[in-house]
Amino acid sequence: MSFRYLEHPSDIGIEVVADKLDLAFKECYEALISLIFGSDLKLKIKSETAKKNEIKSIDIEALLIDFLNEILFIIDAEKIIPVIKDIIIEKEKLLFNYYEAEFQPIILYVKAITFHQLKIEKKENYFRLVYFVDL
Amino acid sequence: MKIEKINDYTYKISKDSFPFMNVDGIIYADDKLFEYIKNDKTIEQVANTAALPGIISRSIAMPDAHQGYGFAIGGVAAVDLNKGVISPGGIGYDINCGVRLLSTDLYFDDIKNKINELTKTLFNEIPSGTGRGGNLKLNYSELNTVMSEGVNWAVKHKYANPDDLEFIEENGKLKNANPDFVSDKAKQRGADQLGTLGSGNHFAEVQIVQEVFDERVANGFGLHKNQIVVLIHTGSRGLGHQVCTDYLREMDIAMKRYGIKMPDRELACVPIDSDEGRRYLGAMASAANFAFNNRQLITYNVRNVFKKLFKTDKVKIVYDVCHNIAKIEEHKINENRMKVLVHRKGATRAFPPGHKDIPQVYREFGQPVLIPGSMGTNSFVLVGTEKAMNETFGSTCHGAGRMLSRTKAKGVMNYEKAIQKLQEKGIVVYASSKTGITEEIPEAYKDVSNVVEVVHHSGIALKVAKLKPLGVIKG
Repeated sequence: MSFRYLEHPSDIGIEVVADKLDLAFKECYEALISLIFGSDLKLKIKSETAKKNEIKSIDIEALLIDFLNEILFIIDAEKIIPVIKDIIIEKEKLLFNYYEAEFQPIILYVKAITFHQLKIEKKENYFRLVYFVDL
Repeated sequence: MKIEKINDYTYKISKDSFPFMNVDGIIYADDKLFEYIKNDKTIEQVANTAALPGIISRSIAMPDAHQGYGFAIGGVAAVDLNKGVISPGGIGYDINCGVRLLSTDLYFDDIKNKINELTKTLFNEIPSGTGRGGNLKLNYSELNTVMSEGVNWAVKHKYANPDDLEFIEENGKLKNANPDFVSDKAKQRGADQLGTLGSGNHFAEVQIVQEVFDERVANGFGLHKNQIVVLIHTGSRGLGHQVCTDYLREMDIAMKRYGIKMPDRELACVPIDSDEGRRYLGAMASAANFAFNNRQLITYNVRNVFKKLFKTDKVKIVYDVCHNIAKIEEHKINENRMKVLVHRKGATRAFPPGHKDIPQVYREFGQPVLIPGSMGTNSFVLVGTEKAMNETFGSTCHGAGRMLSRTKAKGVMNYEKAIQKLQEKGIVVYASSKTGITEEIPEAYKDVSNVVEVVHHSGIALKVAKLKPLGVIKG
């Protein structure tokens, strides 16, 4: 599993490669957290009780966008860092559990996750995902 | 793709380039700026925007245009009010990101020994940076009032003077605002962000009027050589971003019901007169009013600082313009006057002399157009023209336009070098983060002077004054 950042004239793209789709989605989340808070983030979990969240969308591309925009909302509005333990994808539905970690200084403010040049590709034995964020 | 150079400042993308194009694309650029524009997806996005149902006459890009989401940034498109669509991508994620220029009764000699103190005090008083909330924490009821009343809310709460309103586009209030159409999520994101600058390319700058190109119009705007002014650039913060996100998703789903297909999902759109369209316009106007109040609260802080340091309360609004917005306006189309919906994404309204929607005291001159440069470079004041009304639905550029990615910009020079270069120009900088400096170096942007020259020579706005930064506040 891995992610890398992609060049863009005014914003940033993220490319993820993973064996399975749910792991790829989780890696997309990891990449977003790393972008916002920095790669050397040390998390402090606030509560031992995990919160549940469910996303339903019209297709798999929209599911990724809706999922990541929900992460963005939790960060920007609730002022916590969601620490995701697991993600389950069933067609156009995604379930995730997360713990709340203490908020930390934002390195890069992300306005939104976009459909721009979005890719969800199933290769022979891995998935490749690409998305761009508006900074 | 069929691209033709029309004249020294205009290129045309023929609508025959793609079957989905309803109109031609027109790009305002000289040869040099067109080379930058060719390097990213701007031209493709101008062509895609020409596919909007009900689009009138042309899909337009300004000389500072660069790749965006859906629309190019620097894009303008007007649609028929009855047959056309509204596309949130044609406004952008930062609804009513815009610029405000304040004039003072001070000149360079009055402040030259206090520039550092002034800039530092403004930096301390204006909330900026990532994650920093404003000085106000509003409940939903108060937030709804901010969104529905526009800057009238700030007047009631003494953050604005009553005579400020006339010098803000739409008198500081888009009348069709309806906060009921703004989601709870958007309100949650925005509740503690009113009165904040944000980060990225948002800024406040203390500037000097360095050069006057049109003495008559400059005097009419209350601008004089060596005068001290303040320029503010910010928008609707998390509230506006969430409104755009919410409605793009909703329209992405709804489009199919209306039989609309677009070449880019970020151009999701619905008929203006649909339920989704009406609700988006009400929410967009609400977010726009939030942004007007955002710039007003920062103005309040600026006024307090100038009063404290220089004992003056003569800090006036020259003008406040939106550069991400959609407006219903009357324009002449094929000799007939008709109401259209104009999308401006990274583009500024530029109404001509005599227009009823500009302040009475400016009507003999035209509407002030405010063009911020990149950090450490000049900004410009221009004036709107009849030619803009005829060619671009009364629109012009909005800034310098980015050309280097953030990663490449950081590779050009480090923080210390960037600060040193600004200091060599006599510019004081206060920033919340080093990234806020290194990603925003002038080398990351096109030359704003070049952009302004193209706009001036193509006649879609005319130069009035050049402003030079003295102190910069960044998030």
